[in-house]
Amino acid sequence: MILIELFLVFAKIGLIGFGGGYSILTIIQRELTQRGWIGIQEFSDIAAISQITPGPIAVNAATYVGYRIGGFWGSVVATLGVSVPSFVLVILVAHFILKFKTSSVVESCMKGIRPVTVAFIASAAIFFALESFINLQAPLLVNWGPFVIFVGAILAAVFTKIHVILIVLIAMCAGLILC
Amino acid sequence: MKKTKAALLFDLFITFFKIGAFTIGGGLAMLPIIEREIVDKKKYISKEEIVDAFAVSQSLPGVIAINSGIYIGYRIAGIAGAVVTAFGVILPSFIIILAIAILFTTVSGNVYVNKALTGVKAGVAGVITVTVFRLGKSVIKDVFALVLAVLAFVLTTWLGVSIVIIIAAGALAGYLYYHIRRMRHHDTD
Repeated sequence: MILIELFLVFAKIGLIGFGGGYSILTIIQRELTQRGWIGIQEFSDIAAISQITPGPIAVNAATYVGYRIGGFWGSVVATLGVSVPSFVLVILVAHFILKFKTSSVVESCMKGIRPVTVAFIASAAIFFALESFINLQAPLLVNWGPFVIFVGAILAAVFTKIHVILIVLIAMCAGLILC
Repeated sequence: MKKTKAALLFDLFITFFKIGAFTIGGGLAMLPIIEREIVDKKKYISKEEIVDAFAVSQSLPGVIAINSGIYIGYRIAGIAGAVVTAFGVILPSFIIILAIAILFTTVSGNVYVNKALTGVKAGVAGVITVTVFRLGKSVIKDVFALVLAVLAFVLTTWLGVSIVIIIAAGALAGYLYYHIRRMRHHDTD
């Protein structure tokens, strides 16, 4: 039955999808085009819609693809499918970390993991910069429109009390004019 | 006065619903908002703990926003907390995408969509940069931590080493440096 198959395919994607939304999109594309469920052109629509609408990219893609293939219930099972593995894995790990938080061994390990995690977040900033205003082929040719938005967002986040959500919405509107 | 469990769960649901409804650009773009709402405004958990949540979210498979929601929900209110945060962060996407899937068919290649997307990415790059410095200030407190952060940044950004491997190496380095130093310290006391 198509609903069960949809659920299992998305549970598999949730289980093997490391690295968050953008890398999960690639896995979704592979899994779905292999099965002949959607074509390449339709997938690029799904990728665009998932990125431009609010919410986690992989959840957006799962809901959209699920609807295309199995209607309303298709979108329900695809979305649940991609979330279920997270549920089990994260709670197991969280339980372990919180239980042994006071142990010197776990605390020492966490002290090593935290700076590394901050580095990953910095790497995410670079990723978004590359996607918008830095061109690796010509690093000196900054794309000025998005760069101005980037600097504006930093200034707004540091010096004003404007909410992060609003800053990103303003950046989106500025993109229509400057990019 | 301490909040009742039901009120806490409702508040968690609303907070993550808001996070799910208003972040564009995916799970990574949510980190600054999660930090702002959960640590700064609500003070549910500390800056160190939010970094722990991101570490777990990124080293496990799955959607980063859902993983962070589940970790934070579980930490604050157990299994019930994890359930409400997960549903909170998923539900807005579900409703919005369903509406779009029913109404529209083609958007890719649309020039306005691409412009808006570029603007969002540039803005998100900006707010994430600020988050890096804010979290870094509370997490990187000695030279050893700084060295770990710089190494991890180079390994993941330019050498493409897997996040799981770098986190495992970070844990090992932390264990060797902090734990063994503490043991030595105890010996000389």
